[in-house]
Amino acid sequence: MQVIQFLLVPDSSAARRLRRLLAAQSPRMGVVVGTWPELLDQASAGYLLAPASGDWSAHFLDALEKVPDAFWRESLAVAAEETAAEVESALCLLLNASGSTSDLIECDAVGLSLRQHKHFQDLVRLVQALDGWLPIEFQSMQQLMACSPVDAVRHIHVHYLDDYPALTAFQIKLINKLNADVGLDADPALTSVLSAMLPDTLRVEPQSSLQALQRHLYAVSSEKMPLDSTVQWVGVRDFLEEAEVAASLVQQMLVQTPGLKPADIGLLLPEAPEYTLAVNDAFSLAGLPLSGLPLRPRQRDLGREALFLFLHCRQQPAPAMALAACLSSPLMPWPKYRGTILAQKVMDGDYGLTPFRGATSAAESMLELLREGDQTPQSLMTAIHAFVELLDAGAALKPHLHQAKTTAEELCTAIIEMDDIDWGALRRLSSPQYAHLAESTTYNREGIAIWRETHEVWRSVRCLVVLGFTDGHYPVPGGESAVFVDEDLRSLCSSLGLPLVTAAEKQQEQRDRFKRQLSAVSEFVCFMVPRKAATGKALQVSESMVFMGKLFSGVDNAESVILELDVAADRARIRFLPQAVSVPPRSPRAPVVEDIQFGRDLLALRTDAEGNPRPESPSSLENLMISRLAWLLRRVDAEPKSWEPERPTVMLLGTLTHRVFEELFQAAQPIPTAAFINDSVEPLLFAALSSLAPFLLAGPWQVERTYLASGIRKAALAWQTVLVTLKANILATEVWLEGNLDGLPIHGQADAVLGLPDGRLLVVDYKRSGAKSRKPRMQKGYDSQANLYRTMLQTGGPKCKDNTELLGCLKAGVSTAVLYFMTSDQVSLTDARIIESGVIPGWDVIEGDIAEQAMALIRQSLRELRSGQLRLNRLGDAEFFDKKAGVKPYALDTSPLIPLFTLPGEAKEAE
Amino acid sequence: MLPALMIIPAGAGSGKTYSLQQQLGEWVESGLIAPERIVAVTFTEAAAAELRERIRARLLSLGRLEDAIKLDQAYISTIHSFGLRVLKEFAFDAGLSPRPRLLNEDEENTLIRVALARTTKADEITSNLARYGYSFDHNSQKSAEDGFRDDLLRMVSLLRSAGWSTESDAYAAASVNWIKERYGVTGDGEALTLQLHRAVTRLLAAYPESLAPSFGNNETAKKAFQNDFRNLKAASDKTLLSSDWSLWKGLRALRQSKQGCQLPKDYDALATAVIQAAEALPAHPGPRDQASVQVETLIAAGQDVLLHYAQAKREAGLVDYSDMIAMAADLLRRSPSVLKTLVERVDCLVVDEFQDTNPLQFDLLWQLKSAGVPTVVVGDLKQAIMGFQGADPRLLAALISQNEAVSQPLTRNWRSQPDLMHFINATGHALFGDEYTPLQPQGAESSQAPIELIEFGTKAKNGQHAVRAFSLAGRIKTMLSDSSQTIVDRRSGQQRRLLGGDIAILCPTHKMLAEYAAVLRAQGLRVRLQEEGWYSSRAVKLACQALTYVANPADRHAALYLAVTELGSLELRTALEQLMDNGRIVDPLLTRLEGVTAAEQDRTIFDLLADTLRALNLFDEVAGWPNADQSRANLLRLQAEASDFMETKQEALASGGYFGSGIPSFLAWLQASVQQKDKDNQPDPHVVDEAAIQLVTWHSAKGREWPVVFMCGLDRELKSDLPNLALGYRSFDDLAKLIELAQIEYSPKFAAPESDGKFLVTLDRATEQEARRLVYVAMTRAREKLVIEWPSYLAGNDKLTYWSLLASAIKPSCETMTLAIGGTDYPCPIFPGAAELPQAATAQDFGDSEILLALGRRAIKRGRVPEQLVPDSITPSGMEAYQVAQTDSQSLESIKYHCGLELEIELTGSELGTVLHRCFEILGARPSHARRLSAITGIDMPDEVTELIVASISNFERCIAERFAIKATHRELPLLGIDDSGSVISGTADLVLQTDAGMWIIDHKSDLIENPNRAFDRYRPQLEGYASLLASMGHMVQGVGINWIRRGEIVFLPWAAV
Ligand code: SF4
Repeated sequence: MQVIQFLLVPDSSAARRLRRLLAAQSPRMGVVVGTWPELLDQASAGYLLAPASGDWSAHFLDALEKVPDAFWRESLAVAAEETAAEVESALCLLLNASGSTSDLIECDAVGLSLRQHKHFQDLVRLVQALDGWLPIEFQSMQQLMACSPVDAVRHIHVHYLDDYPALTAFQIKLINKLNADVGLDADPALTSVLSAMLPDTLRVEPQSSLQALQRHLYAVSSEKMPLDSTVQWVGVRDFLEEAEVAASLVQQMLVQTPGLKPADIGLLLPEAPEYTLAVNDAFSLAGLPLSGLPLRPRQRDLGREALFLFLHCRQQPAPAMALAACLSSPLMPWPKYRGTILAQKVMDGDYGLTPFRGATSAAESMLELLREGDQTPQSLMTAIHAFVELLDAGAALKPHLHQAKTTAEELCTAIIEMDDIDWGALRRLSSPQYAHLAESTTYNREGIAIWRETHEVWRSVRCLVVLGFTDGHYPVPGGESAVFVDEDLRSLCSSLGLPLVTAAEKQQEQRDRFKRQLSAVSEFVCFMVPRKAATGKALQVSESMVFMGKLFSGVDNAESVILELDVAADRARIRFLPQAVSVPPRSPRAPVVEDIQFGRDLLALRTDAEGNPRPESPSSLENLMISRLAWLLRRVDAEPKSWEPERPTVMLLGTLTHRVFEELFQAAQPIPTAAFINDSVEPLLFAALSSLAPFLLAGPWQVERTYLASGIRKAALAWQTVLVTLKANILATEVWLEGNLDGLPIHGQADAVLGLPDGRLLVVDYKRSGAKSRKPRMQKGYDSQANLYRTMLQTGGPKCKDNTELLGCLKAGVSTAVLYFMTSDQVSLTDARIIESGVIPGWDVIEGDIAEQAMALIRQSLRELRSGQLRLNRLGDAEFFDKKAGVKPYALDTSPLIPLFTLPGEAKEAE
Repeated sequence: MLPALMIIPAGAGSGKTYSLQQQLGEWVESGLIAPERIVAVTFTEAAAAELRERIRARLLSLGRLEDAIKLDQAYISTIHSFGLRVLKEFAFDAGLSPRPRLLNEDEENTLIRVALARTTKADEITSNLARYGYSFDHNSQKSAEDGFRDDLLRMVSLLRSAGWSTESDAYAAASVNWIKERYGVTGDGEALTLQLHRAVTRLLAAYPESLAPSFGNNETAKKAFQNDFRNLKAASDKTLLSSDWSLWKGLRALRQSKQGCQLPKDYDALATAVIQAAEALPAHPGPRDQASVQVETLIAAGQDVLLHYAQAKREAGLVDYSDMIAMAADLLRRSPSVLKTLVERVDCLVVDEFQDTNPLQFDLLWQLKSAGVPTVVVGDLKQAIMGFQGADPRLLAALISQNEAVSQPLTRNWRSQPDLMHFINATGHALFGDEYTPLQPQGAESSQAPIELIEFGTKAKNGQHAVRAFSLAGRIKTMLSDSSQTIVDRRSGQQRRLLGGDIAILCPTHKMLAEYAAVLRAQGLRVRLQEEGWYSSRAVKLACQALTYVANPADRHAALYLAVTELGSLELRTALEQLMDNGRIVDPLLTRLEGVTAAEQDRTIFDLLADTLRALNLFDEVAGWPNADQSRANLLRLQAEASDFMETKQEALASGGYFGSGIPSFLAWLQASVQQKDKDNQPDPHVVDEAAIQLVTWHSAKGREWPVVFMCGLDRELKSDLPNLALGYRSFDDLAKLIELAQIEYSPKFAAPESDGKFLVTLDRATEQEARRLVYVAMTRAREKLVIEWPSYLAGNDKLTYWSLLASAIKPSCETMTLAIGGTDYPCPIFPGAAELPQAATAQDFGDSEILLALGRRAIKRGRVPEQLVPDSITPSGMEAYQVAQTDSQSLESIKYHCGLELEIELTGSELGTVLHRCFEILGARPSHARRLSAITGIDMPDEVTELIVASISNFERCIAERFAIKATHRELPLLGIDDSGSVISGTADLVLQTDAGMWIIDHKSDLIENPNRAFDRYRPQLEGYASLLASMGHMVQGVGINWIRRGEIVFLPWAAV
C-alpha cells in the first residue's frame, strides 16, 4: 500500500520553511509537510471518511438545555450563544486532555472544591447528554480512531518533534494509531530534517547582545553583558511611524551593510490590519519589495444588512436613516446614483418615497414595500419574501444576494414561531457582521520577509525589525475562562491526573515562539515601541521589555534603553537612522481669495421656461444679505448634503407649531375659545407629528412631545388673547404671496394675514423662539422677512385669487403692518402702532423702520449680482451681523467654503 | 502573617510605587504571597502597567524569574477591569453572559432615553418644566427637555454610584429631610400667599393699566413698568402665585418713584405693600416644598429608569462602565460562596490612589478586605481633587482616623530639590495645619533658585490673562536664552541646559491655558497643549470631503471644495463657472477619486478611507506642510475612527439613530460623535517635544512632574454653584455599612438669595477644601523651580481665590526678596509683572521658524518596487495563470473511453469536481468500494448515477491499462522539489503511471469543455510542473495527459511528440 510520509509542523509558516529545507536537500515523492488540519484531511482521505455533516451547534444547544440544574442554566437563558461558546471551549479543554469521552466519564473527581466539582460534573453530564456527538474539531478524530486499517486506500506515517507542535492527548492518540496502521519504523533522515527546522544561535556573533537575547530571554542568566549594537529599541509615536521609520532604517541598512539584500531582512508584525496597511504604504513608497504580507480585507455584509435595515423600516415609524441606508444599498433594484438621490430625499425630510421617472416595476414595488409597516408576523413574512425577491445585484455581489436569501429564510423560520413580532430578536438574527475575505499572501524570493507574531518563522534573516512592541503583544495574553480559571485547572490536573492546558502555559508557548523568532536572526534586531495608538491614547511597552533589560549590565530601568525618536540625544544613537537634512515646511497651494467678477448676470442663473428669473424667497434674500457666496452655492445647487439622525430641531419644532396654529386659527372662522384650544392642541399635534415627524411619536421622545404640546397650548392661548383684544379678523393663513422687489420677482408663504377693525392689514409670522432673538434686529432695522411679505402684498398679492375679502382689502390700498408672534415667550413684536406696548401682556411695539438697513443691504447685493460681482465675506461680517445688526449669521455656516473664502477686514457696512 | 490592613499615606513625590514594589517583593520573597495572587487596583491603565513592571523588575532583581513570569496572571489593573474580571469569572454564578459586551455611549444614551420614556414617575416635572427651573439654555444650546434629562441622568448616576437598590423607597425621605433642615423654620405659606395676592389685587384695582406708556422716552422706566405690569397681571392668578416663585422675586423688586421719575401719589404706597408681602418669600414653605417634590420625583424616576435600563441591558447581554463595579459588588454581597471563592484566589489587595475612590468602588474593595484579604491602601488626602468624578476623599479620611495604628505614612520626598521642599512643607502646613506631614527632601540639589514670584500689583484694564502670559513669556525667554540655566535630566541624571520641554505652565482651566498659549506663541515660544479642532482641521476636512465625493460623485459641494482647496487645481471662480456652465467640475483629483468610487460596492469604510487617502496621496502631502506632524496625527485618528465605527455593532449604532455601514452613515456618525465631550480634541502629535513648553491644567498635572513649573491663574474666584446634586453620608462610623448611610443631598437654586445662602455655606466649605488640595497638587509638580504668579492686586478684595488661600500664609517682600511663612524667610526673587499688554506684543510674527526634521516618512528615499519577483513557492495546480503554452493539436493523442457523465445531481461545479475526482481516485484503486460510494463522498447518489460513474471508471482503467504498459500506479502522489529560479514546487499529481520506458502523468479534470485540445493548453503548465519535478528526481517522463471525466475522454501528449 502507498504510504505518505507526513511531517507535522505547527503552522503554515513552519511548513513553508520545512518544505524548502527538504526540497533543497533533494526532490521528494510521497512526502507531505503540513499542519494538524492538513493531517486530518490527509487521514480522512486515506481512510475513506465522508466529510462530517450534521448541525453541531443546534445539537449542542439542545444538550445544554437537557442537563438539569447545570451551572450554565441561568446564563444560557440570557445569552445562549456566548454561554454555549464558553462551555464548549471548557469541554474541548477537558476532551483534549483526556483523549476520549469514556476516560472523562470515568474520571474520579476527588479533592476538588465544591464549585470546581460542580463545574466538572456538569460537563461530564453534558458529554453524556451529547450522546456520542463531539465538538467539530473532535468529530473526524473520533471517526478516524474507529477506522479499520483495512479500509485505508493509503497509509499515513506521521513524523513530528516533541512539543513542536505541542499536541494534546487526543491528538497523540490519533497519531499513534495512524503510525501503528503503517506498521513501519520512522525514517531517521526525515526526523533529522525536522530538527533542522529549530533555530540555532550558532551563526550569531558570540557574546553579542543579540545572542544574549536568544539564549537568556525569560531565563536566568548568570552574568550580564554590556549592551552592544546588535540590538536596539526605538520609541516612536505610532504604528504608521513605526512602518515609516522601519522603511528608512531598512534603506540605510542596505546602504551600510555590504552584501545585504532585502531578502536578508525581516519584519515581525502583530496581527492587526493597520500594520499591514502601514507597512505596505511605507515600503511601497521606499520601493522595497515585501514577501509574505498578509492581505485579508474585510467586507461589508450587504446581504444581512439589507434585511436588518428592512426590519427597521417595517417597524413604523421607520427611522429616516434606516430608509436612506436601505435605499442606497447596492442590492437595490436601481443604479447606485438613483439610490443616493432617493436616500438624500428621505434625509431631507421627504418620506413620500414616490416613484421616480423611469422606475421599473421592481423599483416601484420596492418603494412601496419600504413605505409600509407591519403589525402581524404573517404580513412581515410576506414582506420579507417580497423584499428578497426584489433585490438585485451584479455578478460581483451575488454572494451577498445569496446571504440575503439565507438570512430571510432564517428570519422566516423564527417568525413562524412568533405570536407577535419580536423585532429585537429578529434584528439580532439579521445583525450584520463584517466578514474577512480569504487571506491572500504572496511570497517571493527577493522581498523583505514578513513574519507574523502568531506564526513561526518561514525564512531566517540577518536583520529584523520588530513592530508593535507594546503591552498585549510579545506575548499576547491568554484568554480567561468563566468555567475554569488557571487555579481550577491546576486542581483538576492534580485531582484527575489530566494534563489540562492553563492560560499561563499558553502564554509560555507564545514566549517560546517569540524566542524562536528572535533566534532566526543572525545580526541585528530593532524593536519598535509605539507610544501612542492611532487615537492618540498612550500605549505601554511590551512586558518582555523588563526581561530584556535584565540581561544587560548598567541597565537599572529597562525603559531607559529605549531610544526616543523625538529626543535629539537619543536620535544620534539610533543605528541605521538616516540623517537627512531638515527642511522648512512648504505651504500647500493657497486658494486665491478675492472678490470675483463673473461678467454675467448672476440673478439670471436660474430662470423659468420663458427665461425670466425665478422668484426669490425671503429666506433666500436673508441668506444673500449675510453671504453672497452662501446664496450662490444654493443657486448652483452646491450646498453640502449629509445624513443626520432625525432630531427635534428648532426648525422642525417650528414647523409643527405652525401646523397646529394653522389648524387652530383658520381664516374666515371665529377666533377659537380658550376651552377649544385646550382640547384641540393634543390631537392636532398628533396629526401634525404623524405626517411631518413620525419619529417623534416613538417612545424615547415622550418628554419632548409633552413639552411641545404644553408650549403650543400656552402660545395658542396667548395668541388667542391677542386676537380677541385686537378684535382681529383672520383673512388668510399659510397664504402664498407674490410680488416684486425693484422688478425682481419674489414670493413666499405668510403664516397669517389679519384684518383689523380700522381696516389695516397685519402680516403675521409665527416664530418658535423668544423675543430676545428677534427684537434686536427689528430695532436695528435689519429685519427683512415680514417686510418682504408686506412688499409682496403691496406689489402683488396672493397667488391664488379666490380670497375676495383679502383682495378687497388690498384693493382698498390700506396700510399694512407686520407682527412676529414669538411662541416660546408669547411676545408679539410688531411695528403696528395700534395699541401701546404692554397693554396686552407681551405686546411690544418697535419704533422706526424695522427693515430699513436690511432692505438697503439686499438691494445693494442684488445690484452687485446683476453686474456679475460676487463679493466675498469679510472677517468682520460675523461680528457685525451678530452685534450690530442683531442677526445671527447662520448663513456663514452653510459650507466650510465660506470661512475659507473670507477676506480679512471689517464688514463693509461697518467701514 | 500579613497585616489585615496597612494604610500608607503618601504625599506628593514620596515614592509610593517604589515602596509598594519593595514591600510586595519582600512578601513574595518570604513566601507570604504568590505573585499571581496579587490584586492591585490603580487609577489608570498606565499606572497599572507601571506598577506591574516595577514589581516584575523587583522580582527579577531578586532572581525570582518564575515569580516574575507568574506576575502575568496577577490582577494589576484599574478598578473597572477588576470588576469586569469578577463578572467574567463568576458570570455563571451570577447568571450573566460569560462574554458581556460593553455598551458604547450611543447605546447607553438611547437605552436610558427609552427607560426614561417608560417611567411615569417624572410627569410632575416634565409637564411643568419651566416651574422647576428648566428652560432653553443659550450657552449650551440645550433645550429644557435636555436640561431635565441631564438632571435625571445625574440622579441616575448618583443612585448608581451609591449602589442603591432600585426597589427601596426609603431614600426620598432622607433627602427631603436634609433639605428641610437647611431651609429652616418657615411661616404659614397660604397666609403669606394670600397676603401678597391681596396687595397685588389692590394695586391692580387702582392701576388696571400699565404705567409704561406714560414714560414714552425713558426706556429703562418703560421696560421696568412693562415688566412689573406683566408680573402683577400674572400674580393676580392665585394658582400661579402659589407655584411661581420667580414671580415673587419680581414683585420684591417693583419699581417705585425715583429722582426725576415721579409716580402717582398712591402708587408708591400700594407698591410698597406688594413688596413687603413679597419679602416674605424666604420664610415661605412653598419653595422648600417644591424642592422636596423635585428631589423626590427625581429619585423615584431615577430608580424607575434604572430598573428599566437594567432589564434592557440584561436582555441584550450588555454591561456599562459602572455595572462593572456595581454588579460585581452586588454579586459578592449576595453570594457568600462567590466571595469565598474569590477570596481564596487572592493573597493580597493593594489599592492605589485611594482618595479617588467613590463609595461603590469602596464597597467592592471593602468586601474583600472584610472577608479577610490582607489589604494595603495607598493614598493622599491632600491630592484628592477628583470630586467631580464622584470620588469622595472622606472615605480615606475616615479610614485613616479609624485605623491610626496601622497607618505608615511615607515621610520622604524624592522629587523636589531640598530648598523647594522646605518651602512646600511650610506652605503645606499653612494650608492643611497639623494634618500635614512634612516630607524630608531626598531630591538632588539643583542649580536653580527654588522659588520665584512674578508679581502683578495692578489689575490690567483688560486682557488680564494675556498680560500675565506676556510677562511669563518674557521670563521664560530670558531663562531659555541663558546658557547657564541648567537642570538635571531625569533619564540620564546629568546636568544639562534648560529646554522648553522642561517647563510646564499650570492653569486651573483649559480656557485659560488656551489664552496663555496664544500669547506665548505670539512671543515666538513653542508650546504644547491639548487643543480642540480635530474635526475642522484641514487634513481631516479634506479626507471627509473626499469620502463624500467617493460616495456620491454627483455631490457638487464636495467636488467644489476639493477642486478649490490645497489638493485641487482650480480657482474658486473657474470652478464656479464650470458648475454654472456644465453642471460639473473637472479636476484630476476628482478623476483619481472616481477610481475609488468604482470599487466601492462592498468595501468597508476602513478600506475605503485607506483607498481615498492613497488616491489623495494625503499622508505624503501633509508631511511637508507647516504643522505636518499634527496633520498626520489627525489623519491617523480618522483611521482609528473608521475602525471604531466598524467595531461598533450595527444594533448599537441603530440605537443611536445611525443606520448602515457605508460612507454617509459613517460621516453622520462621525459628525455627531465629535460633539461629545473631549471628542474634538486633536491628538498629541509627538511623544516628547523637547522644545515645547507644556500647558496643563492643575487637574491633569496630577501624577506628573517637571523641572520648572509656573503656577498660574491664582486669581480665579472660587464659588459654589446652585443647584447642586451630590452624594452625602449620615455618618462614616461603620464603613461596611457605607451604602446604607448614603443620601442624596440636593441644594436647589431658589428665587430668594437668602434661601440659597443657607445651602451655600456647606458647599462653600467643600469648595475651599478642594481648592487647598488643588494648590498643593499644582505646587508639588516642580522638581527644581516653582514660579508663582502673584496677583497681589487682589489684596483687600474679600473674594475667595486660590491666591487668597496662599496669601494668608505667604508674605512676600520685595525689599528683602524673601517670602515669609510662619516666621521663616525663604529667599525668593520677585519680578514685577506687566501692568498692560504692550501694543506691539501681539503684532510680532514668529510664525515661520518651524523646521521639519527629516524623520519617518520624510526620511524615506522614494523608490519603485521591482515588478517581476520570483515566487517563493509554486503549486502546479495553481499555475494556470502563469504561462499559456501553445500545443500543436496534431501532437495530441486522444482516447474516448466512455460516453461521458451527464449527471443530474444538485451540486455546484467545484463540489461535483471534488466528488468525481474522489471517485476516480478510490474506485480506480479499489473497484470493490463502489457500494460505499455514497458514504465515502458524503453525497446521496441515486443508483443510476453510481452505476454510470462506476462504468466510466472501469472503462477508464481498462483503457489506460491497454494503452500504457503499466508497471505501477500512483494515485494522489505528493511531489516536492525546487525549480531553476529557486521556487519550491509542491503538489499532488492525480495519477502517475509507471512503465518500463518511464512515467506518464495524468490529471483528472471535471470541467465541461467544448474543445479538449484547446483546453489542454490551460493545464499544460501544471502537468509540465509535475513532469519537471519527476525529472529532477531522475525519472524519465514519457508524457502527460488529461482525463476529461465529463467527456469520457483522455487527451495526452507524448513527450516525444514535442
Ligand atoms: S524507482 Fe523511481 S519509478 Fe521506480 S518506484 Fe521508485 S520512484 Fe517510482
